[in-house]
Amino acid sequence: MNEKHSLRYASMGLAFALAGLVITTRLIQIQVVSPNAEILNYEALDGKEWDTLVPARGDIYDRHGHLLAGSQLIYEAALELDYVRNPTTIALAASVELGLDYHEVFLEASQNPKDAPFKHITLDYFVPYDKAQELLELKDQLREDPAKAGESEDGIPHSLSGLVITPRLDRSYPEGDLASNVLGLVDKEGNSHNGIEEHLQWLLSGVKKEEYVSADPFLAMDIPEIYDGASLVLTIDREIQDTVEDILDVHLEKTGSYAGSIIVMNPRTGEILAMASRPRLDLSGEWKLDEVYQEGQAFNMAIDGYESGSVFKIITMAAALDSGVATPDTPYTDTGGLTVEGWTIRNWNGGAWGPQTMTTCMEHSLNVCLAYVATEMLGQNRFYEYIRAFQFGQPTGIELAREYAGHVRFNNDDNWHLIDLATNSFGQGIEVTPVQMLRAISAVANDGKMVTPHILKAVINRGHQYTIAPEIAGSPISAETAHTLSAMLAQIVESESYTDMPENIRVAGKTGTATIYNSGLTNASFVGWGPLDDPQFMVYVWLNKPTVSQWASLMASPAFVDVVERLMVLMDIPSDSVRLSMADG
Amino acid sequence: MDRVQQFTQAYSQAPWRKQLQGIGIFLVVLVVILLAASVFVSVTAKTAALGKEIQRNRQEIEELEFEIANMESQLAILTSASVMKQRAIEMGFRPATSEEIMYIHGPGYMGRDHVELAEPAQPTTATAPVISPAFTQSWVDWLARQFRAPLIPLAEAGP
Repeated sequence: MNEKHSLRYASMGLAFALAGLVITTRLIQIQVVSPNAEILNYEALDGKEWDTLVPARGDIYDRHGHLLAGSQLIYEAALELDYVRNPTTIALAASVELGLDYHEVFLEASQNPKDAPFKHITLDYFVPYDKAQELLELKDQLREDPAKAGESEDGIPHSLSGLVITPRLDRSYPEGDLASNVLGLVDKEGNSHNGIEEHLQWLLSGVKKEEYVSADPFLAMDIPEIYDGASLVLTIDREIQDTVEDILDVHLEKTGSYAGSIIVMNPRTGEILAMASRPRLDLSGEWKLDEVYQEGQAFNMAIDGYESGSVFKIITMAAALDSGVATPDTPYTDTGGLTVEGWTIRNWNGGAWGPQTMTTCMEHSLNVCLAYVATEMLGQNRFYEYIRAFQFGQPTGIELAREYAGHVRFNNDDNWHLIDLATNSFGQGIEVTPVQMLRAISAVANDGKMVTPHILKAVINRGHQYTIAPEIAGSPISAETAHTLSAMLAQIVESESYTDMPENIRVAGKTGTATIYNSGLTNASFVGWGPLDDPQFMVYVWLNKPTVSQWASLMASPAFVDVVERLMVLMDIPSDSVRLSMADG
Repeated sequence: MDRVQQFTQAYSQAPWRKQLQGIGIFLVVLVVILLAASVFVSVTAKTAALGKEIQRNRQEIEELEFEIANMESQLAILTSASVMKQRAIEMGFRPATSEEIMYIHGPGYMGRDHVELAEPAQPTTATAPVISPAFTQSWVDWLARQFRAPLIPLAEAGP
């Protein structure tokens, strides 16, 4: 090999060496001198290898698509101990920006990750948007220009590395306290309480997944897909709910009642159009369940138990008519008392009402008459067969958490006595819920067919809407009995005993006053439905412990009338005269 | 023959030519390896870039979903029943009574029905895949499928 060739080889060697040097230099520059910001920001993106993937919670809408429960953007501030460089800076920023205790945060951030029980420590679940942005900006500034940031007293450069600000969705209730008793709520920790939020938690929340999540771009497709929780469309009509809540509030004030509930249901389908209950929570603000609901206070009175009083006479009379032991005109002479097992049943005014018919017994709400019907005409076996057929003592299955099943002592129970039959006939000694009463009485309004009250109209899951079909709960009475009893109850509403009832629409209904044991107070109720020939609404009113008067005819009936007048407008129900003339042509 | 002898003689007279031949073969192999490596690096780099883009897009999707959910809530607050009622009162409206409403008969009008926020669910039916496996499976998948293929009819036959 001559010198000329040696020079060429040397040149090639030099070229290769230079290329190698350039590559090495570039590698050092990329890795050490000016590393890619995204790589440095790795821990901010997600430093954890195992992560909990939380699906977005489903929304809740009213029947017309108004959002009742949705999600709002908030931020969570947390410590990732593996990445903490300067606990002092973190404690300082957390105390100034988030108002947290400096020493507590400092102690948390100073933990050795190897010894700490948790490497991820949440400092604040609810960081407002502006505070979160300020912290993120400060963190970026300290990272980009550490020299300018200086050092803390212990000589460590200021750094917010390890302080992670993560956006997340939190429950939001745009309507405030509207339908709060129906919705229930989700607390800061994501736990649901009461209402449909708790009952359908499994459907709304979706399924969390603990998965290996890596920032490695080659594993980008390995990130598992999680499905958001299903959204719900309720049968509730926002406008009717709002109106009924207003009416309930007004009448609670007027009557001096302790609490109350008004429910509006479609008796043909069982759809709950409104379910008002008080007390209510304003879900849009800060709330404390314990402060609003005293011990023993139901979150939603519509699914809570009570002795309904005389509205239950509808059930007794339905049984009597259906079994053929009575007709509307069957005579009865009221002597003012009926003795059963040594106990004397008396009428609401303690008086004797003389010659009556079944219709006037219902009109004057005579306890003695109905106790006679149950004990002497129906008998215990037949009476409790009907109670079973009307499904008392069984929850309706409405999609609300903590529905009370009620309490019935049947004649085959050990602690049952004949006096129970007498008192049950007029709604005492038997615990029912308003939704149970609606289920049972819907048979009277709906040609003998009892509907299941429900509040869930449809479920939206993975882009498809599944509509829930109405359900017939049973047929405890015949259509003929239903029509006869409806006519009776319409007749008594039009009688002198019921004043100020709606004049432009024919309705059927019944009051109920039940004394609360040993208190001197009452539960005042009213159930009614209309229009009589084509029932489109059934309204149940329950006022707990009214103090202005103890009688339901004075306390609960006016609330029913107010609700009916507004329903006619909100549900586009013309007066009977207009409706029938339109039907004629 | 003369030419062969001339060639042999030439190599024996200049042994560096043999070395050069060896170096040439080495360089050819090196170039092939470098080409393969560069193709690998190029594909890997593109895959990494796409992977990173997928990650960024996913993050962006999540952020946008958060934003959308937040804005839907804000919109719902602005159009809530209490706000709308207050605005109506401020504008001089009051609730109508049933006597003030005039009804007109509209043949076929069924009233206001509940909202459809998504496509109604249809009964699920088996459908053929739109994309042929030939366009989606790797050669390893194809090979595995070929091995499994004879078993499929047996497995599908059932008891």
